[in-house]
Amino acid sequence: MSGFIRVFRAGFVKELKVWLRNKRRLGFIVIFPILYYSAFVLLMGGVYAGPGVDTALVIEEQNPGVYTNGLIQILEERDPIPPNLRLIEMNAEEADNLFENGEILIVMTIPEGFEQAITNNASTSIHIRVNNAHEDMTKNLRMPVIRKLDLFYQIYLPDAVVSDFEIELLNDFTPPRLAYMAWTIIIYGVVFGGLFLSGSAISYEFEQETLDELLMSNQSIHAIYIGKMLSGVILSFISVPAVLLMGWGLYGLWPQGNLPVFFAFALPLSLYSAGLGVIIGAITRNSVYIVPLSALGALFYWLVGGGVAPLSIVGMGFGAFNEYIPFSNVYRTMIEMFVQGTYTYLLIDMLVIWSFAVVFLVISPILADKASRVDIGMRIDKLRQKRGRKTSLA
Amino acid sequence: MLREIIAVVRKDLKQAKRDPRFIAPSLIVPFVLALVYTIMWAQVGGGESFVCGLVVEDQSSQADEMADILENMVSTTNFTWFKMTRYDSESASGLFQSGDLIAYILIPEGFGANVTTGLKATITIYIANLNDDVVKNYVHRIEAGVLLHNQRALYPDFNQSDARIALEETLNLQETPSNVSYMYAVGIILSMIVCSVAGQAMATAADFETQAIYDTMNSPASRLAIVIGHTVAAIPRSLVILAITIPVLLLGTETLPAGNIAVLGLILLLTILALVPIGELIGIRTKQREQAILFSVLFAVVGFLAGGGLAPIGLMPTEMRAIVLLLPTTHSIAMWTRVFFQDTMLGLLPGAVSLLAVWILLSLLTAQLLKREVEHA
Repeated sequence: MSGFIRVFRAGFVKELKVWLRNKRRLGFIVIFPILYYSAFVLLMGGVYAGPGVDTALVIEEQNPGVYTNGLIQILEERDPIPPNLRLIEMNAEEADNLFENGEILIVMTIPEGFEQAITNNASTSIHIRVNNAHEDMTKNLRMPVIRKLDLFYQIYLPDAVVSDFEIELLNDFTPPRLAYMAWTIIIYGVVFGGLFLSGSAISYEFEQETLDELLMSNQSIHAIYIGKMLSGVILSFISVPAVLLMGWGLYGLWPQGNLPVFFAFALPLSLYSAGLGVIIGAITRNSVYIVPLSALGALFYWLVGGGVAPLSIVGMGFGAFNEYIPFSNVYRTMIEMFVQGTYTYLLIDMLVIWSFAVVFLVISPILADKASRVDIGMRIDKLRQKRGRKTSLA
Repeated sequence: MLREIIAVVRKDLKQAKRDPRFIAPSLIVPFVLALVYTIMWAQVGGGESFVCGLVVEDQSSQADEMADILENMVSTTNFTWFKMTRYDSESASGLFQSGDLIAYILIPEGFGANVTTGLKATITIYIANLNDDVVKNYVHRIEAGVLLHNQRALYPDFNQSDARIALEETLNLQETPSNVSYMYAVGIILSMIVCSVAGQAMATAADFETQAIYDTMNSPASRLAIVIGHTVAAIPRSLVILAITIPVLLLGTETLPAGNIAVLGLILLLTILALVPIGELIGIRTKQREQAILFSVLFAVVGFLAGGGLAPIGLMPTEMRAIVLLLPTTHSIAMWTRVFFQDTMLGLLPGAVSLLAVWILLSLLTAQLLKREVEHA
């Protein structure tokens, strides 16, 4: 047992030292989630916080009165429900040119006779022209107009209004989407870190041709691999404060919940990811493959775990899926904790992730050891050579 | 000079053949993203359909009218806006409180009576406000349902001809590309982005690792010939990825371009030209193949996300758009999606000019940096 601890400790300390020596590679663990979050802030930030979507407004009505001006005022007013519309008044020809060139995505026209029709209780219409290049964008361009038209009905046409709606929210506070994403990206960072650091540690041994020496030293393979896994687990947390601070800097919000519960989930998640990373590292044997596999593997579970939007938005089917996929399982409880501070599925989710973590702690060294005996690259080369020989014989 | 360029091209292509590892991320990145997207949206049944419960407590025909609207509203993309399931009040409330149902609508007792007597009838939507995007999407949808009810645009025709104010809509394309089709289309340009950047970054880093860069830079070959040689070699090296991504992402999913193939090819070429110097810069800075690929993937993924890879940047305010337009990936993705889904040449010039400008400026910069690196060594 003392031999086990000695080997484990040596491997653990060595990996930590290697990573701390190579600050640029270690920095990547922090930079990647930060840049990843920044990209989403750039892509989506304006929809929620900015001045609104540029909207060409063509007013063909020559005698605007209370209704026309009222509609324009409602369209211009800031709305707590994003996205807002930033109206740019122009003539039809200019709007047409800008729309055709893709410089403006929505054109709204208030036609001639609009005022008179409403005043005389007659029917009229407004017209929108939408660039429907993408389903989601089309929805986000059209829906604010529909909402504003309904608001116009409620305020200016009370005699035409037969129904209305009210909203009951579950929580007292609604976090901004990008604050929510900062919180979920810290889970992404932990998964990415676990996969990348442990996978790289193994592939590095292959590249340096030192793994065989280690494995032939007659030491426990569990001690060797677990040392590398745990160093990855410790370092996988270094992006967490950076992303949290960024989210706080932008939105002034910290997630709810408490640190012990966070670590009770994040530690086994990182351990499980490190277990997977060790296996991937032993299969690929090349750090070049570890980067995209880790980044995208973590991204995959971030998306299907509810990182962009809560899974419940897409239906109960994902609920059943959740129960058995440890990543999604962790996301479920963490998201509930971050947003609401409650723990509906705490026990089952913790049981699942700890089970996976323990199982992978045991089987990852065995699987990685088995994988290290098979050189898939060499086998592919042999197959190629065989095929080449057959072709030349033919 | 031509002979020098040919020599550099040959050397770079040989190097790519010897170490084709840059192809791995060029395939993994777009395929994983496409897979994730397909799984996500396949579960939803379309980008616009969100789960919602419906409780109808009122037995009147007016309540049925409202329920019919909410259950059958048709969006521009032929998917329903709500994926409705009916519950009784107690079940809906229980599921909502436990987090198993994100939202539900209640049409209360007396709804029909209120409509008949001219009082405003109110329905209630309960939303688990996990973030403001969730609230936005549900409020927008119910707002549309209520507007249709007030316009007397009822199921199944949703005819607005009797409405006090109808909403007439014209869409630019005959059919709105689904989120998944968009992802498949941009998957091609993404593979090209990763391949261009990672391929060149690996080539340059390999030159530093093997010290070949010093021989090349100290040779009588002009720096211009070296830079042009690198760029020319990058074109076939980057295009090779299309042999796999086009059959899988486009032909396999029957996502075919509406625009001119030659123009699409030209956009790919401009993308390669603009991104190769960026790969070279990464290679110069990292000097190691492993780190070069690390930072290439980082640049490609972030550039792709910020540049409108998951959704067009059209909803961004002008000021923020100005920031992401500094990235060449933004122009590439914007031009590519425009021509891919629409047979048009309009609006392409600014993007093409930007990519050319990036190519020229960064090529000059990399040439200078290479010189400095070698001199300092």
